[in-house]
Amino acid sequence: MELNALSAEQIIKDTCAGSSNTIDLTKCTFVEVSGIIRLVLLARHLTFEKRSIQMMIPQSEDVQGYLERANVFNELKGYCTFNESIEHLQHRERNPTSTLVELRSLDEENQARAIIDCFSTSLKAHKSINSDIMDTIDKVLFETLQNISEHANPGDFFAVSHGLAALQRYKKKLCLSIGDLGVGIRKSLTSNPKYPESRYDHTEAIKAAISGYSRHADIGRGGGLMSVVAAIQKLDGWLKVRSGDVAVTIAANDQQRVDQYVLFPGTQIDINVPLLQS
Amino acid sequence: MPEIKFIDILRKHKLGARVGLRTEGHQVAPDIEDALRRIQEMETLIIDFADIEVMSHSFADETIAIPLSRLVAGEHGEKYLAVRIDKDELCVDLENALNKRGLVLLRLRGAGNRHWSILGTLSDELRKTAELIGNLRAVSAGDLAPRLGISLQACSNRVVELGKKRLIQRIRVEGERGVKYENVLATG
Repeated sequence: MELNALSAEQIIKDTCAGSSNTIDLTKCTFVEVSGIIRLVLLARHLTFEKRSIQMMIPQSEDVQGYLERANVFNELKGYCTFNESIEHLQHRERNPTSTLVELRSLDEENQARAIIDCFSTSLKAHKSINSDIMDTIDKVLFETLQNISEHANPGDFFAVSHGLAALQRYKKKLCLSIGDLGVGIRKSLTSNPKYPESRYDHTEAIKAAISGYSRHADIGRGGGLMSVVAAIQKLDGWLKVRSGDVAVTIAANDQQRVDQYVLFPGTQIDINVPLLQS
Repeated sequence: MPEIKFIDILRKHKLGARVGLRTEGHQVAPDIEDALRRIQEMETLIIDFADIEVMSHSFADETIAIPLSRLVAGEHGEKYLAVRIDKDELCVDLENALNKRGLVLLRLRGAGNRHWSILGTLSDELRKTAELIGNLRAVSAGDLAPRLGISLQACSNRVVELGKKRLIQRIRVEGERGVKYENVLATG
């Protein structure tokens, strides 16, 4: 089993829509950042729903090590129990890796700059990351991370949106995932009476957001996510915007695909950019 | 012509060449407004983007598009704004931010004021007229109309529209009768 966006959706379905209180990762052999972002958000969400979740950790020591390096166990602390002790992992020295930027939390906008600088520093050293990719990832992070604090809980300055971001560089691609447990795109957009809930379901709301619509009355606002889509497409990449009960995937050629999932709070964005072989 | 370096303003706010968050732009914007306040009537402020590596849509909106929208609304009097940007990539998000607000801006490339273009969406007719005025120094509507192959009235309407968008300005040339028009980068 691989823990990626797709398999994480099955886990979300089993736990959120079903009655399972166990997240079984024992057979997990590979992990993607899109999967771990959803996994951590799911555990936190279920805790807020007063559910006691047990996580069966992967049997593979490599995967255990990866999850530890990715800061997953730390971010899950207090949100679930584990079927076996993970203490030995936490005492192990983390081997620094330049291909992974572990889960970073973002609850306030002033943390965004530090996260962006950290991601940039990690990417700078690699020959396969040219300046176009560096610049695009920075722009994407500026727009998406500020959205977490700005749109995740509009009007509630004290709300914690549980923003998370992680990045993994592979030989042929770069994967970036950002997610939160805020109100999601539909509720944010339809807080503007110009976009009534009756006309904007989750799919239409996501499509509106990536086309430049915004909850703000100011006509100049709302171009952030639209600029993210254009920048990623320019690099022949694709992105997936998941909010409510759907995910809209936008390909480099602008083709869109809508996938139906179970209702889940917040917004999760996965970005995939191909890398040139060095 | 007054010219400021964008990077100097960013450094004042402890920001680097890669910007930025909307809130950071919100902190920087008053400095742009101040610079517009300080220039004389009929002057054009040029913002030089040398050494800027990345600029997000939101940052471009806060620091350039919003101050420009105030300028166009007449908040600073009869003043003008232009940008000097060599890196094309920086113009992508700036142009999108301008388009969202229905604004246009003159972009200079390289040293001097010879190589310019218009950022933002403009109808073909207005673009052609603005480009012709930019290539001619101090031209009257009467001289422009036959060159564009349109009536004097249509030409007058176009120059009024371009004036509202702060791409051209009305001038009076000493010793000559009537009003003439020139690109806002032509003076100084």
